[in-house]
Amino acid sequence: MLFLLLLSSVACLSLAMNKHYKTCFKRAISAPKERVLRLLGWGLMLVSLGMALVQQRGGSMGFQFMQWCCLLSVAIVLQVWLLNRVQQHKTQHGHKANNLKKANTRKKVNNIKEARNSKKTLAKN
Amino acid sequence: MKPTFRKSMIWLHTYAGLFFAWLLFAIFLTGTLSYYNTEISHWMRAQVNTNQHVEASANDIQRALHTLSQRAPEAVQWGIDFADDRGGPMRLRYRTEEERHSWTVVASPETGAFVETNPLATRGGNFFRTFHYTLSLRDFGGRYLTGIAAMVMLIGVFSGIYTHRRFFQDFFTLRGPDKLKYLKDLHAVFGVVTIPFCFVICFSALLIYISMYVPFSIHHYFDSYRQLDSQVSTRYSRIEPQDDSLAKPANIPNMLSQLNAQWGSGYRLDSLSIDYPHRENARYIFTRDKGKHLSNKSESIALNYAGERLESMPKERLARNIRRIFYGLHEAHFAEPVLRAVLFSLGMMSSVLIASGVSIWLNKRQGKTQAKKDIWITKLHVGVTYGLCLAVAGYLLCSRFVSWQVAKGGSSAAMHTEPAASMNTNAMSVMDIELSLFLGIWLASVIACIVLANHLGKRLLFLACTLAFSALFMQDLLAKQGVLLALQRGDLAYLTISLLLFLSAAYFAVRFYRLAINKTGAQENDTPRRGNKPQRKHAEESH
Repeated sequence: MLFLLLLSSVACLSLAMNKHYKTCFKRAISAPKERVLRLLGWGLMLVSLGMALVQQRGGSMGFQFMQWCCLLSVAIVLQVWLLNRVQQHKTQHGHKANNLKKANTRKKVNNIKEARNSKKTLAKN
Repeated sequence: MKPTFRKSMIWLHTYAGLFFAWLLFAIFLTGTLSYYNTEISHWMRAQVNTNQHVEASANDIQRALHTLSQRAPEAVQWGIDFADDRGGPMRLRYRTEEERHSWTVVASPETGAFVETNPLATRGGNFFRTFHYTLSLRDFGGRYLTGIAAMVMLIGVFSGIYTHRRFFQDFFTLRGPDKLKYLKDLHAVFGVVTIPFCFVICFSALLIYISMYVPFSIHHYFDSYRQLDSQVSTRYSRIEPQDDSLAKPANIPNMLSQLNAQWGSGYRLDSLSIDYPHRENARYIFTRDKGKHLSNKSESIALNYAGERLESMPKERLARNIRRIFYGLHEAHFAEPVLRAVLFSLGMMSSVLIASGVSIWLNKRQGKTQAKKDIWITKLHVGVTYGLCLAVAGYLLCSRFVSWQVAKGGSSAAMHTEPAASMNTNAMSVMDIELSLFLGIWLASVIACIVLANHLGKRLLFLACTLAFSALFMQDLLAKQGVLLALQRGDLAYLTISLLLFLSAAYFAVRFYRLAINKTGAQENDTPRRGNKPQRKHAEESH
């Protein structure tokens, strides 16, 4: 539970960075979105820290804090690895497969993108 | 002196890192393995010692006391260390005026009495534990060497923050197939992630042996460390035996209810020690597990034979408490399986961090010059790092081989009742074999890497590691007392080690495969996937 919270917070923070947002969604991040993601990330992290410190299942505050730090480290590494996977997946399968896969969830985004692509190809041709 | 502060930091980071990298790698890898100290010992002995472990109940304590009274009627102190859930066996010990002795016991399935077992006389996981701070050079300043290494690691961690200052811009990044970029990112990510871990580990390492590392200030204020120790730490007051009295039978149930009243229900008894068990004023000191306390001081209660409270231990000074907390953080006695796995993966990450640092340096140099000494260092690097992994596998294989020999040589009944004297000589020889095997394999793989061409040596080591780890795992899977039995019993300690063996075998197999599909003689551009190990391990655990 704590770990999931931390992972989602780390994920939000990483997606708030333009570079990673691009790899995931193939377009630059907008300023309000960045702010929301960043706030959400830090907020979730604070919440998880609070949860860790409040819950006292037989452990002292120091113990909980240490556990939280360890989990945070692992969450970061896991997120790095996930992003790397996403990137590799995208570069391997190209835009087409990617679009097909995410068609259900992000139809709008892809429609715009396809339109752009087709424009480009038209222009090229 | 370098022109800017950052330049000098880079210089410091590079050369401090380079000179100590291999030493630090060995220390960190074996230290990480010793998170699973008890589990490894249990794993190594499990196929010989097949009896179930016993829990601490009133009945068991009574029987253990009975065993002790038969074995050591004249002792001034008896002790019982109870079995724990990490696979540590139950041990009995006694101390007379002249000698002290301890042995492992199991409850015999027929009679229920405690009989001595002679589980394989290996050092078990303790080998890695002692190796990581003494380097097998205890009498030759090994602990000073590791202390220096810990300081260098601290320097490396903090100068690394300046050296890789761009890591916040590139945070969460692991760039693709280019080896140097990949390594750099891996180094930076693991570096950031393990800053708190490395800091705590290195700092607590220095604190644990602070008496060795800052001797002058101790000698300025005290005559000896012993005197300082008596100032800061507390112990039970000495009791004088009442010579003319005889022991009264201990009221164990009463004692246990006294403990329950004090500690509630959620505790596990760690040990019981009895001063002057044959006198009326015998003192029964019960110690509980350390639970989730960071300090490595465990709570204890002193009782008399009837189960009444005696004078308790006075509180310790703040300074000692701080050291105890760091000691506890270093040893992580409080970690339950998940947290232990997390700490283990953090330890693995720091080992990778250290090894990847050297790889980066070598890769950068490769672009500039092709000096002969670089090739030498590359070869040495491969030999030292992967050779150590192979040596670990060899060490574990050795125990399996010995236990197989034992099982073949004598029936298990003969082993259980082997007299103590022959056990000791046996123990010495097995320990020596283990040590020389471990160091021998390590040395041999370094030499092999130097003699062979670089890519060939690497491939050989990967293949050997794959074979060794998979042999260990297959043996585990197929043996009668292996994984299947552990699954039946829910023996988590055993299964953890088996899982780790499987993961290491898979890891080396993948790396060997990646290396093998590359064209021979071509420039190596395999993407190093060392980081995969802790991550995959974690992914499995979080499900």
